Amino acid sequence: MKPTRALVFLALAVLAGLQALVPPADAQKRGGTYRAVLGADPPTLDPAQATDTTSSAVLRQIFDGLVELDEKMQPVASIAEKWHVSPDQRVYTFTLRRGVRFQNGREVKAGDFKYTLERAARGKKPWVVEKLAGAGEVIKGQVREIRGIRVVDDQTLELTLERPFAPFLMLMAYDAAFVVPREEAERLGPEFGSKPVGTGAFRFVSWRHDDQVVLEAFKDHFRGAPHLDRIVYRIINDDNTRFQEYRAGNLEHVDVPSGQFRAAQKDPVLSRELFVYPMLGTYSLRFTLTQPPFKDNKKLRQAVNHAIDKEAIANVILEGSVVPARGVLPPGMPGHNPELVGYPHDRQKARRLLAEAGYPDGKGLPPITLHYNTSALHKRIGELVQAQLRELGIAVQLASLDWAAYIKLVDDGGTQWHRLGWLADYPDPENFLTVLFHTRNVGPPGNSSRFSSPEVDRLFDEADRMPAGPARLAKYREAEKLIVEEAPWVFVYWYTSRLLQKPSVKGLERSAMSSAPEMHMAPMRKVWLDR
Amino acid sequence: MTLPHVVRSRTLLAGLVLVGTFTAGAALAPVLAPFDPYSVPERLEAASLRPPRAPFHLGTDLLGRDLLSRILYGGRVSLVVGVGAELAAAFVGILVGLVAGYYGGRVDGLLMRLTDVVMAFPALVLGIGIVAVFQAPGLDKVVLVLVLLGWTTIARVVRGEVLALKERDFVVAARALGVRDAALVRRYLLPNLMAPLLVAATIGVAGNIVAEAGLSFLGLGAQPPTISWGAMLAEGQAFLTTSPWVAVFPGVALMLAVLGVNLLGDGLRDVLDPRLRGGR
Amino acid sequence: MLALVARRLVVLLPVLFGISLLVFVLTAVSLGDPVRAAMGQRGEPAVIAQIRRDYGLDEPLWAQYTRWMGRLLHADLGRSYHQQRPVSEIVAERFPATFRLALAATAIALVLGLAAGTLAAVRHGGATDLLLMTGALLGISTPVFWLGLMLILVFAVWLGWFPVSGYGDGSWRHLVLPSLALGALHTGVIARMARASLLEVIRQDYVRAARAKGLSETVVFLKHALRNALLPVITVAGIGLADLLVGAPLTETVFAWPGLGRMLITAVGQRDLPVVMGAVLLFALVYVVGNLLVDLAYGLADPRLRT
Repeated sequence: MKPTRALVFLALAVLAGLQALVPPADAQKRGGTYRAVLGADPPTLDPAQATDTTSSAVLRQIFDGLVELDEKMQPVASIAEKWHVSPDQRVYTFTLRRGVRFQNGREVKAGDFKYTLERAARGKKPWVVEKLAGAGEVIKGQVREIRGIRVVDDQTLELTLERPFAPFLMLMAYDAAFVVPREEAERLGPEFGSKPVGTGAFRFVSWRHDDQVVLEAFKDHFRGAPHLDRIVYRIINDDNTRFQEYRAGNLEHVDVPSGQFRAAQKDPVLSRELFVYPMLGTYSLRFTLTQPPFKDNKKLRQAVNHAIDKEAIANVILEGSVVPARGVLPPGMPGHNPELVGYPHDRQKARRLLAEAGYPDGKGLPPITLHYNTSALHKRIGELVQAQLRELGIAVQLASLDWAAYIKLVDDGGTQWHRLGWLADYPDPENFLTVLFHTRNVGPPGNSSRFSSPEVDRLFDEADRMPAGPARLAKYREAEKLIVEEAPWVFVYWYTSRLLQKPSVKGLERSAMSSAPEMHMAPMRKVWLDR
Repeated sequence: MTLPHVVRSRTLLAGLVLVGTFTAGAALAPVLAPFDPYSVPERLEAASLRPPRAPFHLGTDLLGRDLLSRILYGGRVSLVVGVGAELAAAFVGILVGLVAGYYGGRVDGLLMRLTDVVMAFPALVLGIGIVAVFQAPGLDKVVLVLVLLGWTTIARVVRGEVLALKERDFVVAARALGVRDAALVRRYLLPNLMAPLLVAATIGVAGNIVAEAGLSFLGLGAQPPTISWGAMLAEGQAFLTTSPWVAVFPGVALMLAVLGVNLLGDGLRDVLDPRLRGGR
Repeated sequence: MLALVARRLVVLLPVLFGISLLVFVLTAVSLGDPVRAAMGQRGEPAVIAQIRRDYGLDEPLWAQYTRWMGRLLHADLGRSYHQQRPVSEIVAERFPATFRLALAATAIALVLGLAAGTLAAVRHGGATDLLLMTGALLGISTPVFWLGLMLILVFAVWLGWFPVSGYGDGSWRHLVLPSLALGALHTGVIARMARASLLEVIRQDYVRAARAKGLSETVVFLKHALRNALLPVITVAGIGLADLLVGAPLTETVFAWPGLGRMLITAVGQRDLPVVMGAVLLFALVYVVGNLLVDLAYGLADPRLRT
C-alpha cells in the first residue's frame, strides 16, 4: 500500500474509533429540578384516601404497587417480579423482588401488602380490593382481615378472588394498592396524607398548601436512582396564570388553557412544543332517567342527541383539539367500537323524532334544566347546547353549582339533565360500562343517569367474569350498542390532553392512561432533562 | 336643585352624561342593538371570535354573537342589579339607622352589634353559601347577597346623621312641643337625610355593579342566556391574549359606567354640600 | 383610653358569637356534604356513611355547634375534615401570606393615595387634578381580578420585570403585582379622601390665621392641614386593612398566592366547616381589632375626640 493511502486508512480508522467514543446524542443526563404545576391543592397524598387525579399524579411518584401499567397500558412487573394465575382465574400468586426498600429504610415484605390492601378497604376507594374474597365484610366494617389475602412467606403473596375478574392486575396497578409502611401509617394516623412514605422513585420533602409540593430523588429505589434530583409541583388554580408561567420559562410543561390552543398551533415557538394525546375519557350530558321529561321517552333523548352539533362543540369551543364522541368507550380503550355511528348532527331527524316523542316543535315540553358544576368550559358548552336546542323549540335553562352541592344533587336524582365526564381508572371496558350502566351501581356508585336494563346487566355479569380476550370484549361491545341505542346520555366528546412541553424534557411517557388532565400520571423516574 | 346648580359642577354634569348615556343605551337596547344578542349563528366556526370590523363593530365572542349588542343588553342587568339592590339595601339601612339613631341606648347598641356582625362577614362566603342554600345560582341570589351586605353602609350614614340632627334646636323644640315620633321623623329628619343618603347610595350602586362582576367571575351570577358585563368579563379572560376585544370592551363599558355613577355621586356631594351645612 | 379598649373588647364577644352562628347555619343549610364532595364521582354509600360517623357529622346540628363552641372556649379550633390536621395549624400557616399582602397593599394605598391626593389638592382645578382624580376613580371602578390579569400581562409576561405568580421564596418581588392589584381600590379612595379633606382644611379659618402669622406655605401645610386631614384617611386605612384581608380571595386566586382568602374559598367549596369557621372568626377578629385601632388612633390624633 502506498504511504498516502495507508495514512488515509489510518485516519479513517482513528476517526471511526473516535466516533465510538462519542456518546450518542440522546444519552440520559443526570440531575436537575423538574418544575411542574398542579391546578389545585391535592386533597391528600395518602393512596387509600385519594380520589382525584391531582393527588394521584403526585403520589404515583412516591409509591409503587405490585405491578404498573406500561406505555401500552399492559400490567408489567413493579415490586412483584413475577406472578402466576391459577387455571380457574381466581388465585393470583405474586413473587416479590428482594431488596425493595421503603423510604424509611425498611425492606418490603409480603405482609406489607396485606396491611395495605386491608387499609385500602377502609379508605375511599374500596372497589380496588372489592373483588377479593372476603373483602365485602371488611369494607362494611364487620371484619378486620380479608379472607382472600394470604401471606405465604416474606416474598410470596397469594390473592384469591371471589370470582374471576380479567382486569384484576390493573386494579393492583392502581393507587389504592400502592404499598404503605405500617409503622409510618400507624404513627402518623390521619396525618399520613400530609407526610407520605412509600417505595417510589421520589420521596416526599415538603408541602406548603396552595403553594407547592416538593419531592426529591430516592437514591435506593429498587430500579436505581431516578435521573432527576427533584420535582417541584407549583399549585396554581388559574389556568391562564399557569400558562403565563410556562411562557415565562418557569415550568417544564403545562396544560393548554382553552382559547390558547389555536394560537399555540400558529406560534412559531409554541407549535413545536405542542402535543395532543388521546385520553381515556368521555364528556357527556346525562339524562336522569327517573325524571320527566326524559323518563321513558327514548325518542326525545334521541332527538336531543341529533339536535346537538358536537362537531361545533369540538371545533369551536375546544378549538378542534378533541374528537366528537359516537359512543361510550373512547378510542384507545380495548373494546372501542370504531363502527358505532352514534348520533350525528341532523336537524331534520331531530325534528321528526321530537314530534314522534309527543312534542312537535317543542310544544308541550315542560321546562328543562341542564345542571353542571361551575366551570368556564361547561358553561360555554351549556350555552351552545341551549342555543342549538332553542332552534328546535326546546327551551333549556342552565344552572351551575359548585362541586359539593352539585354532586349531592346528582346523587339524589334531583336533576333532569346533568353533565359529567368520566376518566378511566384502568384501561378496561368494565371500568367504563359496568360502573356507569349496571343497575347495581345506580346513583352514587357511578350510574348517575340511573340507567337500568336487565339485558345489559346480563351481558355485564357475563363479561365481567370471562377471561380476557376477544370474546369478552365482544360482549361489552354488544352491551355498548344497546346502551347507545337507548340514548341515556348525550355523548359529546372524547377527551384529549393538550400539552406544551419544553424541548429539554425527555422520557415523558405518554399513553392514553398517563396523559390525564394534570399531565403527571406518567412515571417521573423515566424523565430526564437535557440541559 | 336648579339648572344653574347642576351646570356649576362639572363633575355632576360629566356623571349625568355618562349615566344618562348608559341608561339610554340599556333602555333602548332592543332598538339600538344591530343583532340578536342571544342567538348563535349557523356557521359557527366562521362567525366565532371575529375582530372588530363592520358589521360587527366591536367584534364577536366565542359563540359568534355580536359584542356591541351584548354589551347594550348587558347594561340592563348591571344597571338593574346595581340600582335595585341599592334601593332595597337603602330601605333596610334607613330603617335600621333611623331606629338606632333616634332611640339610642340599648336598641342602638344591639343594632350596631348586628351591623358589626354583617360588616365583618366575608362577602364571598355569603355568596357561595347563598347559592348552595338555594341550590341554584342566578341574578336574584346576587341581588340578595348585595342587599344583605350593603345595608350596613347606609345604616351607618343614617344613624350618624340622625344622631347629629337629634341635638339640633329645631328638633329639640319640636319634641318639647310634643310632636309625635313618626311625624318628627317624616317632617324633620328624613328631608335632611336625603342629601347624604343620595351620595352614599350612588356610591353604593357603583360598588354593586363591580361586585356583580366579581360574583359572575366566580360563576355565581347571571346564568346564560342572561347577559351581564361581569359574566362577559369572566368569559373573555381566557381569550385576553388571542382575541382581546371579548374582554376589553365589556371591561371598558363596566369601568365607564361605574366611573359615571361615581362622578354622579361626587357631583351630588359638591352641589348638595352647602345645603347640608346650612340645614333648613 | 383604657375604658374605650375594654368596652370594645367586651363588644367583640357577641359579634364573634353572632358570626360563628351565622356561618354555621349557612354552611349547615347549604347543599352538599364534605365527605361526599371528597369522594370523586364513585361514592359508595356505605363508605360515605362510615366516614361521616367518624367525623361526627351524623349528629344533630345543634350538638355539632355546641361541641364546636365548647372546644373554642378551650382555644381549640378543631380539626379540618379534609386535611385531618388541627385548624389552628392550617390557619397559622396561611395567615402570614395574606397579612403580608394586605399590609403591602395598604402601604401602597397610603403612600400613593396620599401623594396623589396632596398633589391634586395643591394643583386644585388644573389638569393634574383632573388627571389624578380620574385615575383615582378608575382605580375604584376596576374589578380587582381584571386589574390583576392586566398587570400580569404587561409587567410579568411582556416586560418580564416581575414574577408571574406565587409566593416564591418570600422576596418582595413576588409581592409587588398582587399588592398593586389589591391596593388599587383603596389608593383611589384615599387619594379622593385626602384631596377632599385637604381642600376643606385649606379653606378653614385657622389655616388662614396661620398664614396671616406669616409662616411659609409649606410649613402651614405640613403642620396644620395634613395633620387634620389625616384623620379620615386613617379611618379609611384602618377599615381598609381589615377589608383587604377579607377581600383578598380574588387577588390570591389570580396570583396563586397561598393565603387565607384562597383557602377560605376552597374550604367553603369542600364544606370543610371547622376550617371555614376558623378562618371567618379570624377575619372577624381582625376586623374588630382594626376598627378599635382606628378609634384609638383617632383619639391620639385629635384629643377632642377622646370619649
